Amino acid sequence: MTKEQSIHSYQEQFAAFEKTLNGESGSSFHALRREALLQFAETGFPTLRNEDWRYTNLNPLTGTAFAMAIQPAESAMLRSQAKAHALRIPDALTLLFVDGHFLPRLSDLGSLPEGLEVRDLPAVLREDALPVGSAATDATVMRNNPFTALNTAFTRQGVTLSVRRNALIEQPLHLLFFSTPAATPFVAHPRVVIDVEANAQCSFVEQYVGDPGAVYFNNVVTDVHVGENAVVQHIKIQDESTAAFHVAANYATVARSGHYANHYIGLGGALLRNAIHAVLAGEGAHCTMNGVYIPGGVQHMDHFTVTDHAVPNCTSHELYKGILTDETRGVFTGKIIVRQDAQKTDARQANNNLLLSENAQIDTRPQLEIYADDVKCTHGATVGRINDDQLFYLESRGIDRAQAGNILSYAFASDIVTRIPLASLREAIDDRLYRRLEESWKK
Amino acid sequence: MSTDAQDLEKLTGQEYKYGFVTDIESDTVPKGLSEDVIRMISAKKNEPEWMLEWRLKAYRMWLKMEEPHWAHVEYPAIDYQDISYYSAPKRKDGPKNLDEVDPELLATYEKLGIPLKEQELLAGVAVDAVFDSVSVATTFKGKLKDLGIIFCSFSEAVLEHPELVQRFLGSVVPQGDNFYAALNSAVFTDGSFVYVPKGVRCPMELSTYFRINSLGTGQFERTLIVAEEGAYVSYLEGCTAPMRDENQLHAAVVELIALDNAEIKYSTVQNWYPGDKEGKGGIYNFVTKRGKCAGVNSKISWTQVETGSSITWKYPSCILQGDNSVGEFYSVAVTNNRQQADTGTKMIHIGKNTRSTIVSKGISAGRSQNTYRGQVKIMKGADGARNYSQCDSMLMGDRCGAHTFPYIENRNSTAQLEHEATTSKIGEDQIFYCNQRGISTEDAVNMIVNGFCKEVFRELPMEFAVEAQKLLGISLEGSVG
Repeated sequence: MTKEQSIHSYQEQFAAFEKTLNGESGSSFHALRREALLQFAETGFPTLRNEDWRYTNLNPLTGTAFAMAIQPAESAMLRSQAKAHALRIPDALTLLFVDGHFLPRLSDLGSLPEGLEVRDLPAVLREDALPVGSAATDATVMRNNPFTALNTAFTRQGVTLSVRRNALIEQPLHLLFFSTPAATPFVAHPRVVIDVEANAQCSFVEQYVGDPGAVYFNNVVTDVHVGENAVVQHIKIQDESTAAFHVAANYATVARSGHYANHYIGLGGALLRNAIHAVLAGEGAHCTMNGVYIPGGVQHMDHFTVTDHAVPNCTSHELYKGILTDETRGVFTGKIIVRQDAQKTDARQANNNLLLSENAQIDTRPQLEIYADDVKCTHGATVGRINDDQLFYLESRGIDRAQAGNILSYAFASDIVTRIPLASLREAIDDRLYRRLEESWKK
Repeated sequence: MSTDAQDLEKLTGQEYKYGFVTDIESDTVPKGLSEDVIRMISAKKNEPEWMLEWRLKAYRMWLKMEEPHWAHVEYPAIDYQDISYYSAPKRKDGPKNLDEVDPELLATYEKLGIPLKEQELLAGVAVDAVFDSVSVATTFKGKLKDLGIIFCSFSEAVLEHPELVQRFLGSVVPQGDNFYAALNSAVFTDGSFVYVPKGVRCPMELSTYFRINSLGTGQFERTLIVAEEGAYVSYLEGCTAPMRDENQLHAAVVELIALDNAEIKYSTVQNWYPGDKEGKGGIYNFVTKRGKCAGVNSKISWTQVETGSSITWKYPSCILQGDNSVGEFYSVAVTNNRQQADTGTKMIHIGKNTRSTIVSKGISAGRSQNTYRGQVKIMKGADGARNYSQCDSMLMGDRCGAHTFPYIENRNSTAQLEHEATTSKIGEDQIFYCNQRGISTEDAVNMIVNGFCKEVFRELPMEFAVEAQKLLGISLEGSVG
């Protein structure tokens, strides 16, 4: 299938999708959907000539025909199936999504803490109530991000989470996205809208899992608003099927003295693109972005982050680490923008990569775009392999080479895990990472 | 307004000191570009058939190409049919010595401070001065000739050493390489040619002063430097331009080829007219510079000090093909007022154990935009490749921008790459420290900026380093952020 054909098939899908909306097709949100589709068709899929997509060839994605995901039947079996793939986070409340559809009846909605509201997106849209002014539905954003436009065109499934003013939510919220094995590849466009009001604190764990070998396309958009003085821990664990496509765009705006932390653990997907666009919109806001990606086999992982310092006195820290094995390809682009009036900005960014195999490839682009003078900005990038001296040290103490390599690469990766502030989650991730690295060293 | 701010305004507001137009009759081709114009240029230069064919091939490629827009610069669209592609000073039979050179030309050089006469006396530097497009004076040729070194204008090389030109021309920057390189290949009028034979170490710094004159003419230089096995050459390029209103396009191509164990050092000081305070006028400098370390243990080193031009689009690159070859890039780029610079390098590692070093210092003041854009690419076979990149930016004033866009592409697990970048401004405490000791703000800033750029200046040949420091002073000394 060519790119044009692929775009055409989405247009056809949209026509069919429109018919299922019944009365809703007159809503103002549907007008936005139509606009988004037009925008998507106009921009088309990004090519390698697009600077932001320079290292990611989308042909495998555009060459696959995807059907729209269908609403799964809610059964207890489905929940246990999904849970079998998921990390065990003992104290978390689970919100279950299957094939992009939120399943309220299989989620822990009964015991929600006070101050937290979870709503099924279709219900919100029936009231025509999605905050249209949110970052992801902005016309410029959609023009520059065709996948976001595509998601908006098909936005129906998903969830809105609101945390009320001054609420302190101690239990992490586990958003578990499970994709079922299906006969034909399918596409889901889930949308998560998170609104954290002033002085509130909460943590979200977004996890994507799929049946190994299942082919599907998750086109995810997450929209996070961090209110004044609010603290949000957003952890994403991407553990899709190794045959799946995952394109995610995460938009975050942080108000005065707010703190947004995004922790990313990337393990799955055949072709992955994880974009984060964070805007520090109020003075004193802080943004943390930490991530680790460990592709194996022939996986392609592309990470794209933008930290936009729009106002003075904000700080941002970013650390992304990659361990590349087999014939994998890793991409990192980190852009720090400091706007003209954003004086006293302190922005730091680093990307470190470890290549474990001779056929692995890495492309890294840390970028600074600075329009203010009284700022402190640094970035750094390194690429290398495991230090021979360190390997030798461990080997001379009777640890075999594979084990030694595993220990060293685990140490490299766990630096990111230790920065996650949830102890229960840390343990679960640690375990998963260790096993993953062990696999690659056994080969 | 505080004294600091006043100083800042006074100093960053300095006018371009080298602006004037010399009135010399020029032999100019009518505006516009077509195959006929190319034939005319070629005929005027008495070029052989193969050279014309080469130009026409480039022109046909250029017609199919699109102007690149990825650089972080903004400028009005260029009308390529509104440029005159050839301009030569009236006297065409080359002068044999300085006495034969048009006295007005010599006066121009003197105003620029180019010590052409002095140099002949002081020795050490042989100058192949390019006034607009045709070389008018070449010195020290005899001395170099004894060693077998060829150092002449490009048109002369085409006529006298066709076998060398044919062998190396376009081998590093092919005609279809990019939009501007294709344009240059089609219409280049002159430039320099250097050939250093096997085992010869060139005893002096070779130097060309480029100078744009003649209103409304584009300047399309072509430089080709070949260092045979075991040879060494250091080449200096420097330029200033007269003040004018019209934007001028400059699309030069420089090709360097270093064979086994050879070394080429290429240093540039670029100080073309940057436009007035509002960015009016000024040179568009779209240059393709590339060196190929074709042989084992070869080395190419680029050093540049960029202070002029309203728009700079320039990426001196190294193709590290031979095993153990070394590429270096040292750059100081200064932008002021409304200047825009998008400059950096490309290091392409192909051979085993190849090494590259990148040190880039960007200084932006006024309302200028200064971008570092550099690529480090490690190919599959480049075992043990090593790169170190460092990009520092300094901002002066709150209306300017400093950007860093490195591209690091690695295909080999044994490679070791490091990149780091910082952005800062001159600390008020540093200025205060100097003021306290009786050093004026102007001198203090000059000192700090020179210190900031020291790593790069150190790489310049001595006489150039002095000039570079002076230039930097003229461009923005005393700016306090």
